[in-house]
Amino acid sequence: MKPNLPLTLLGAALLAVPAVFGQATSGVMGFSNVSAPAGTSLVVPTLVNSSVFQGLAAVSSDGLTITPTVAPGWTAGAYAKTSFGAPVPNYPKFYAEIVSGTYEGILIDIDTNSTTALTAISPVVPAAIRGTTVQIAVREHMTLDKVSQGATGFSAYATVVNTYNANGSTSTRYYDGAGWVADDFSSAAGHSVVYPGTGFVVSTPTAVAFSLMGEVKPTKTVVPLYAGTTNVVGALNPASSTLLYNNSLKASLGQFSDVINNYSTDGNLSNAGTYYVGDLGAGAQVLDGSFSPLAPTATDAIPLNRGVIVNVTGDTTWTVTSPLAP
Amino acid sequence: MNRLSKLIIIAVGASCINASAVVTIGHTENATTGEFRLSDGTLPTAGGVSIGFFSSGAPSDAALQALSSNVGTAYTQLLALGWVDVRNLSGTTSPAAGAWDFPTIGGTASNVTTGGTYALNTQLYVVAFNAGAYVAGTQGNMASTSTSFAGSTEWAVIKDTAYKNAADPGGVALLLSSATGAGEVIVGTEGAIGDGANDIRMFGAVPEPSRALLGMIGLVALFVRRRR
Repeated sequence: MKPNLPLTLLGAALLAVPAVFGQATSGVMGFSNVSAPAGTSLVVPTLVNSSVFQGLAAVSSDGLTITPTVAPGWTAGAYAKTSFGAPVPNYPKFYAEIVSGTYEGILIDIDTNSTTALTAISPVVPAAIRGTTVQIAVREHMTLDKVSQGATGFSAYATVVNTYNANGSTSTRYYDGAGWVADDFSSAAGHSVVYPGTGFVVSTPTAVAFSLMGEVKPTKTVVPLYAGTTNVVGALNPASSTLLYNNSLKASLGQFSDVINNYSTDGNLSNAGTYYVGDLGAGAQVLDGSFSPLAPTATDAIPLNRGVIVNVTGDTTWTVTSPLAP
Repeated sequence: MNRLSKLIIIAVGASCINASAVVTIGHTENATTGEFRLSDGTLPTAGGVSIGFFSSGAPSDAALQALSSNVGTAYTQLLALGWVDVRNLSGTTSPAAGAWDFPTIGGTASNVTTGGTYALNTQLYVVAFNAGAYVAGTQGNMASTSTSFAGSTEWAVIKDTAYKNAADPGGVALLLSSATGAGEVIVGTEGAIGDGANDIRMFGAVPEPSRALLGMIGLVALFVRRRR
């Protein structure tokens, strides 16, 4: 499927590996547009924020401290989570991700930092990473505010975003004319995190045009899929849709039981295809709604910047490769 | 702006947004996921499954089991209990013709509208019959499906705790392999010797002897006694 608006590259060198000096370097930057017609649509941003740090780091044995092997000279608190007073919810603003090796793609939310180390919000998982040295990159999270920058068409108190949480609950965010508020109509919610590879459902009475800006993620992304909730997920390719035939989802989903739903992009959010994973004798394959394997020539695809809904019967993860390193 | 004003604006705004309450329901049967079998262990070549819920509230397992006394009328009895096949819900896109009929079952009902009597977490059932086929009738009118599965003599009813209406928008795949807990195979037998571990055998009531046959048995017994 040819995208409506191609990715525009603002140019820069491909991401280097400054393993020694802990620098941040420019990756492949660009922007990608997605329109949400009047009605309801899925949106999965395909760009991430540039890294602010890269380098080798030691993970403490308790998984809560990540210390670069070369002193980074950070400003204490520069990567701290938000600090709103109750009842406004707080969110992580930055994350560290593992960018190479067995655990490439795993993401760790940052609670705060000192001049020399990061403190994770939760102990790093899997536990096998603790007590080891890994190559990391630190990035600022994509947030609802960031995704909305430059967007047009929002209607105050009528444009609504739903995000689906790991525990099965739904968080509703309303555009109040200037930014996003929670479902109490007052608490600031623009810092709501949109994790790489995940997205949200937007309902709007008038068409909205999002202008996504950022970096093409150069490394893998491990996207969690939670049982009992609605997982809005997509590939991190800002230039084209992603074929479902032979998609890496086949390695993650329970056979014949987990469901991938694709939806129309006309605002009606009607089903545009249901898919499963199953082994019918030729290894795990992506199956269509009739439980027949997709053909190699099948054009069924995850739409650009939109994503699909995945329902799983047990928590699992989906490893998404970078379009720069497929 | 005070909170009441904000709420009023939200209500007005919400009415302008298109409805989007749909889920998908899939069902397939194979050696991995489990298959319905006839009471003799063979795979059915006629009949099919009906997947749905009871709009009048779920009947007791005993009430469903009691319908086994006359499988030929079981489907119409289910309708009387408020049975709704999800394919009959208005707006549902049914799977391909025959996708939920024996001998090969594999298909997905799409754009299944949730809400009303089919709310989130509504208990779903899978009901299998050994004859006839599902008659689609008119969507929104379950009575128009009343001739479905005509001639059936065996059936099975599965109610797994995982068979619940999915969160919108989403989907659920109803597999026999997940029906293993107590009270989940309401009518039928699971795990019969020689079957796959997840297979379910249908149940057919033993027919009552006719009066003439009873009379013959009585005469034979009297004859044998006189000879002694």
